[in-house]
Amino acid sequence: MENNQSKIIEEKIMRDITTGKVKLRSRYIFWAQKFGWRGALFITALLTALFFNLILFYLHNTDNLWYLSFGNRGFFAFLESFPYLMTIVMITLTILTVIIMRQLGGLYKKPVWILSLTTLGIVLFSGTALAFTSMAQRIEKKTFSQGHGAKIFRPFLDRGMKPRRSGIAGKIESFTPNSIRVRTPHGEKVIDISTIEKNKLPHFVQNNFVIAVGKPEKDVFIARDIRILNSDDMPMIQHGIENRFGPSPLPPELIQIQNLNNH
Amino acid sequence: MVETAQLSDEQIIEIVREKNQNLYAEIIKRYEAKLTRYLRRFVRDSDELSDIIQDVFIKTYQNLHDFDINKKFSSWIYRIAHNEALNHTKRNKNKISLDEKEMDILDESLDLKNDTDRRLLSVQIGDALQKIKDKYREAIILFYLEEKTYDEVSDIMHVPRNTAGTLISRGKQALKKQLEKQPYGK
Repeated sequence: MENNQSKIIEEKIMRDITTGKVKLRSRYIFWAQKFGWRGALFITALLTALFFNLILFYLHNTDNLWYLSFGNRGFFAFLESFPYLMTIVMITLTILTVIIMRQLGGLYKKPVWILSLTTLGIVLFSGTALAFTSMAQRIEKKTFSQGHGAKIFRPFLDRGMKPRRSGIAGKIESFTPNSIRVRTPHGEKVIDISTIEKNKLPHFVQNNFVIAVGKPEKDVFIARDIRILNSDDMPMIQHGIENRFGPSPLPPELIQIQNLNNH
Repeated sequence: MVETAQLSDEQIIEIVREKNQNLYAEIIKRYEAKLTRYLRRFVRDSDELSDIIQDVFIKTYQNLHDFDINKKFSSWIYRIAHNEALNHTKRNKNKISLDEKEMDILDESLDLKNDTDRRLLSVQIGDALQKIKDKYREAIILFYLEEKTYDEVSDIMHVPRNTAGTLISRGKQALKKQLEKQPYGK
């Protein structure tokens, strides 16, 4: 009985095959599928590396990490300015890369942690290698330029320019013994320094960059601690200020050198 | 002229793909009984079972160019059958039926040591198998009942080899736990 059933199945399938009702799918379809997966793997791995590079760029070029130099006081400002969206996207892309890797060949045989570590290694290496190129700078420039640019990255990099509740970073416009007027990427702000002990205050000079932690009160930011930074310590903040207020004037020493050259 | 019976599955597939599609009948002959036995544990209705077996052979044939000739064909065709079985169990929650020999294998591997009615035990194991997670059930069936190796279970289920081992051992524990919840004869 069972043998009969087997014979019937075999005959039916072979009839479908020989009459052409059931055909072999072309090998090119499978090649295309494999290339498709490989292409997807290449793109996700590339995007993961790019986002890792952008995170490094963000941490290096904004006020984010500088808040940690204030110790506990700067922790909230650090959390506030952390690039969460980019980090989430990078983690999602890493997971996606591992999932795609498991679709390829016999890679499902490798434990997920090995694939994840390999992906992470490749991303760390290529992301760091990208840091030696000026790609992130170009992306930042195009993102915040007026014309058509890489606007797609704006939601990710925008956070670097946003006002924070527990911290502030900007360029000194003017100062009094109790307050400083600073230019920030989101406008002019006044920092109240009256609550900081006078002997702990640094020596302020116009056009210096400052970073402070504290809290906002009405239109004033009440600083609990403040310090001076170099202009190239936070290039993205500087670019934000230049985008808003126009290019910075050259420092007096450079103007002198320029005049000498002209003569 | 080489006898068909002497050819390996992989050699036959190469010939079917390149020259002679009629040789696919040999593949059907070699796997029909094995796959019927495997799939019967998931599909009780015989008409439905025969439809699913046909689907497995047709899908296997259609996708022959996707098969890597350097790998084991049996794992590949079981993978297709495995997917069909999963699709079927998602649609229907049928009870799993075991024959005497299969019940002995599981009884021995689970070390149940009981004097209960064998038929009742068979029903109880079938019920318990139905209640454990799909991934454990699949691993238990492939390893104990289909006598596949860890590597083959790994290839069929598309999981790392160590994970296959873990699934088998956890499945065994889950099955034992499930059987303890429903003592025999009650």
